[in-house]
Amino acid sequence: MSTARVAALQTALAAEHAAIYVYGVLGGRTSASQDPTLADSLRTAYDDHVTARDALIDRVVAAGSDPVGSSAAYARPGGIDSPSGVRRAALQVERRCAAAYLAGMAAVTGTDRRLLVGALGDTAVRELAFGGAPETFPGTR
Amino acid sequence: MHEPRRTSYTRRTTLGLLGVALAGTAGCSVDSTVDSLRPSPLPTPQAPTNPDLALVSEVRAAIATADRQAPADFTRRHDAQLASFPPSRHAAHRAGSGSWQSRQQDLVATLTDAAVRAEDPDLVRALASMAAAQRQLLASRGLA
Repeated sequence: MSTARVAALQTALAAEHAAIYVYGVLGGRTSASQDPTLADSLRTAYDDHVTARDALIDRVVAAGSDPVGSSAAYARPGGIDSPSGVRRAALQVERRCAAAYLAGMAAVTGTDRRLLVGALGDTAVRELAFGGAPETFPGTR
Repeated sequence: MHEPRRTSYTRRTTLGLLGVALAGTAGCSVDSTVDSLRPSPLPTPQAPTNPDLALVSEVRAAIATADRQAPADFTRRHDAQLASFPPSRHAAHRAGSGSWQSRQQDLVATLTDAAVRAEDPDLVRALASMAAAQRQLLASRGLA
């Protein structure tokens, strides 16, 4: 199996692990009763990233490698004491995921590439829920 | 030392005369006999076909079709980006069918498929990012 292919999938998987962690933190900082829209967006994003993580794990296994695990510790995002800070942090997560997907895009082919293209689109759309504006070339920021 | 060389010359001369005699017997000119012995010219190697050429043209046509009435700024930039790739045919407008929304959704599918099929790494990334941009556009208008 191509080393570049596996590296691209593992990089995307590592980004998803980090996203899931951060969304867990952000969800814990958000009141569903005081800001139900934000809470709902965070919950949806969390679920989407879990789905993306599982899909990537499947592809890494299909490539004959051991999927990279989540890190023991991630840096907690700062400035998340307010809803606007939570939105900024979530937007940052999505942009990092978009960049990770785009970076590995050309190293994979076929089913793997289609997965990454779809995931890049998903993360670009989620950016909108956290204050992001449509971009000409998502993932290049 | 000199004897073998003379023998060799004599052999060549004999063979040459024999060749002329045979050619004359067969009714052919010496030139045509010699021509038939020359290696046939090798076909001129063709320049390798760019596998992405048709793809870029196809996507540019799809972009032109999807948004020909009111192309967004970013759509123009997408087309300009594609135009920077290896020379593609002029993007022809096709008769767009369906609603603006359905054409935009078709464009997402076209861009996605093109990103999967493209071979040039820069083109792969550009197309994938364009597909994401189209999805953002639709989502931002509540049409995703």
